[in-house]
Amino acid sequence: MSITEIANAIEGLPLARFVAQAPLVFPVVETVHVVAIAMVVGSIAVVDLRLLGLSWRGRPVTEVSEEVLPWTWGAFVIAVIAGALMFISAASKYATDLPFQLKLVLIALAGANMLIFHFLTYRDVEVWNQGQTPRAAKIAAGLSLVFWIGVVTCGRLVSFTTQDDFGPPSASLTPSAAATTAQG
Amino acid sequence: MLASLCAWLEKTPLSAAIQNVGWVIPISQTVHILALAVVLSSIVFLDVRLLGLGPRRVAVPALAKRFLPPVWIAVAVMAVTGAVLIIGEPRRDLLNPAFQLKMLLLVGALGLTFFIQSRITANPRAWGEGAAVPAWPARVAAATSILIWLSIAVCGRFIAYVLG
Repeated sequence: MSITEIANAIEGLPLARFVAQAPLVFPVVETVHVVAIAMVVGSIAVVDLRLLGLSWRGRPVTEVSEEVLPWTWGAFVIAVIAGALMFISAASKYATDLPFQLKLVLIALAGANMLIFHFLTYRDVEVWNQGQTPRAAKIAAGLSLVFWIGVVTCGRLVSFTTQDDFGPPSASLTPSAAATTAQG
Repeated sequence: MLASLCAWLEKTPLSAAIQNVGWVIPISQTVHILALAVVLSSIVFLDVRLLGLGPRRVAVPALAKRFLPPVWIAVAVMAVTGAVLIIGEPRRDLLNPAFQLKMLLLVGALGLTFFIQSRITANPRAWGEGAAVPAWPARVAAATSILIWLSIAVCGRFIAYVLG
């Protein structure tokens, strides 16, 4: 099956049609997505800034991570669920959208960066928990910030390049005319 | 009155430049969202602590010192990017009920955040050490704070969906 055929099949799912057509559903899901990624990026930045030694240097890295990362993960799960709901509603459009593809690549890179950091650099964290963070940790933190800023940038570009029409043809819930003309 | 302000703004060279230089609006929106990430996460971390939830290793004044300055800096960034977006598309925002509600809520949120900050810094020792759970007025203020800031974010997204 080609990508187009798979995407069309996904769009035909009852859940996908529901998100695409039911009033208010897409806007609400999208809003949840934006708030969730705000929490993902804002919280991971707290950890990254600590690793870079730029913020909260008085606290052990392990404590900052323990307290903040549950928020990052929780918000990420919500962002993925909301994102998936939006994706299936117009799978063929998003699957072929370059900013969207780039966004997924950047998320994968951010994930890989996190895994490498966690399983290698972080293993001897007790050594540098309160002192100078090793260069590998700083590089991982810097890359993390770059990747996530890239994710947000691509995410914003997705809406410019796909120019969605959401919701029913009801007067109060169509994208304002000015919004569509100003995009792109 | 707002309509004539929009008409005037639309005719300014700055407005034209913002609309015509392709990357200005997307970059302004992106920076706006990144600053939102700083505001929302900082507010949530402080308010969750004020609610007495989660680990309470850090005393409230120290937590406020970590998270409130970034809020003010990020709000200033959002004011600048917001101004660019408004000047670029005055009617889309100024005449939009979702935007107007957002601004109203923003006044409330800024006032409440400033109030919370002043209560914390006025008497740091009154907040006790890390393990203390704040008294009920602080918890009410914190819950209200989260609700208002979240509502602002929701209104912001709904500008695109509500006709002006």
